[in-house]
Amino acid sequence: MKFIGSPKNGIGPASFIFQISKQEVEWLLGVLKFYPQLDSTYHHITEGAADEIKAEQKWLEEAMAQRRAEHLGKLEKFFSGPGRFRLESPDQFRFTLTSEQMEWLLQVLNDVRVGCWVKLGRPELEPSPPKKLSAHDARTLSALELSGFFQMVLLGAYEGPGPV
Amino acid sequence: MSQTAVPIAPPKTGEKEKTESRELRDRGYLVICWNDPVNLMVYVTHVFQTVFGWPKERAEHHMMQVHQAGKSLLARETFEKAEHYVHQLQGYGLNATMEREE
Repeated sequence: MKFIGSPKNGIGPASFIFQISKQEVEWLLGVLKFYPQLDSTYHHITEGAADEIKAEQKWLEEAMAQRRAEHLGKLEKFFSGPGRFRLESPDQFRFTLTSEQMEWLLQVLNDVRVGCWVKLGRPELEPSPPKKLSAHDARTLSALELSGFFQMVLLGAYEGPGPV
Repeated sequence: MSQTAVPIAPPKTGEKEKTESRELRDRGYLVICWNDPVNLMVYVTHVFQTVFGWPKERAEHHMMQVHQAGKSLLARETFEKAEHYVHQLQGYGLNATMEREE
């Protein structure tokens, strides 16, 4: 997957066009099926005395749950629509994201990345991820790595097209 | 600076003058981002730009503080604004909290 460019509209890029292979489409849709991974227990309003602000902790958890529900709705709407990926050649597609779609897709991908990391037991990932994995954990690690790959492509689009 | 770094404005409340003087007095809450080994550095920079409207250099400076020192103080704010920022940062999956300044 790579960023192709942004249509010129005179006030900056409002949308981003990507080229994506058939294999990458399958990976992207596969990774998105992992969403959501994080649950409310992950979010903490403070490192300090949480008892003093129980209501705020509850509000944070509710806000995150609401955000997840909104993102699920957007995902469903965005990727279930016909013609989301326009065929360009037998193995290549193009698809377009608006700035707003970029932002929630980044959040969704990061939820998968962080959530998979939590489910793997919060391992150190550098210099290399854990080696002894069950088949289930291997799938989780794949989702973690792939979500990071797609995040990098999206973030790279903000920097403009790379060298051809 | 990222082309899409539009700051997410904190909520506006009450009468302006009254609020401003109160805010100055009440800015006793710290917004802190904590390090983890999973959030990508470029992603953290992008989130700081988006949430705070910072230029890339400032966002990268705080991202490096998080990475190297384990945490970075991002803002000193009123309770409501600090809470708003923590919600935004956690919505992006960052490990951010608000702490009462000692």
